[in-house]
Amino acid sequence: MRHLRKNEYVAVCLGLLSFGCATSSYRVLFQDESAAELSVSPDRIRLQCEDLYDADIKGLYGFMMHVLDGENKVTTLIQGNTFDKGSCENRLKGIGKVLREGKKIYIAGRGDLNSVDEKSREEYTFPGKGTFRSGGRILNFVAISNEHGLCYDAYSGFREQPCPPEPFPFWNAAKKSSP
Amino acid sequence: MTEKSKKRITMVREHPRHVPLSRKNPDGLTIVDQHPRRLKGTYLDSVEIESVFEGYDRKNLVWPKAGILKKYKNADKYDEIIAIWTDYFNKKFDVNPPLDPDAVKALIASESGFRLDPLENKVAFGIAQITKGTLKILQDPAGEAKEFTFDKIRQKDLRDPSIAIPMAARWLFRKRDTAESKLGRAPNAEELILEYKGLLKSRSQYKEKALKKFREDYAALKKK
Repeated sequence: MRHLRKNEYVAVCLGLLSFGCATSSYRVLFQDESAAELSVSPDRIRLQCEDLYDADIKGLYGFMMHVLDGENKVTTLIQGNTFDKGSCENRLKGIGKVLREGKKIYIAGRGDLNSVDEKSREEYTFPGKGTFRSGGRILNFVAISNEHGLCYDAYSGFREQPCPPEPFPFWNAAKKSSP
Repeated sequence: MTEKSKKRITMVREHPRHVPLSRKNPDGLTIVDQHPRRLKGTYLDSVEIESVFEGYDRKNLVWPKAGILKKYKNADKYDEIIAIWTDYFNKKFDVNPPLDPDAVKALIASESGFRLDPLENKVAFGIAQITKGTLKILQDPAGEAKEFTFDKIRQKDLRDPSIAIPMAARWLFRKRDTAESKLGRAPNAEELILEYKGLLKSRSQYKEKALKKFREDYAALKKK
């Protein structure tokens, strides 16, 4: 437990704080064997900066985004490079802004959504929804956007143009087709 | 081969040096402390890096696999740099098994997604996310990587993949040594990349998930 507490120094769920009455939704907009794009409501997203206290380099943090899917299993998007505490916290703030200001969230990730790690047993709590087990699905985080176009890129934050970067145009098509 | 020719650095003794007259040095002399000096062939600066790259014999070069990591923009753009510097350091350090250029490519995919300068990190820079600490070690002729070092590389130079990639390749050989001492055997590609990230012995959730993603990219590159 001590290990868990230490690692969970920051875990932000912005879900029901501002979207208590919004419809909870999860939809796969696109997937093939190397990429996926999701459309979810903000209450299904939880952000985490894990304190990698036992790493060789002191002060490292690993960024992860946990998404509750339609079968109530958790898919995790990770950032491949690690951060210092301040950079990871800035990331939480930036993505938090995307979540606060939107009701429909688009997420792009690299990897195969059908690739499942059966050994994965972690559990994650989504305030107002409950605690759910990982489905063992892991993607590399590419970008997150809301329906207003506020888009946060994994490597350039709000500065990336276009966002999401090529070749991830899929959710733009989804936005145009949705009412 | 004589013992002398194997030396990587030499120590220069304390000695006087003529300098312009100033209040600090009214007699026009200053004392230079004892310091290490790099010997030719044991370090690279930016000019030498360019020169080696331009003149490198590309015959029989092992290239990382192209056309696989399609969801990364520019995934294959740096293959030549990866191939040349992996080969260069494989020959320089003569290790068995040699460093795999596909492992270097998968590492870069995980560190930066082939972006030249990810902006959202204050402690690591460039396509290979080299930290300030690593940059310092790689240029210290008396440090842990003294066997082969770099010289006059600035932090902003790490935005240039033609400099960042050879530095990352060289650092992987140092990490191979440190991983081997931890494991008691030569590390495989996954262990080497974890050691590069400083996570070889970590028990974090993040490590397990990052490893899974590296494994997928690396496996895709190795698929025949």
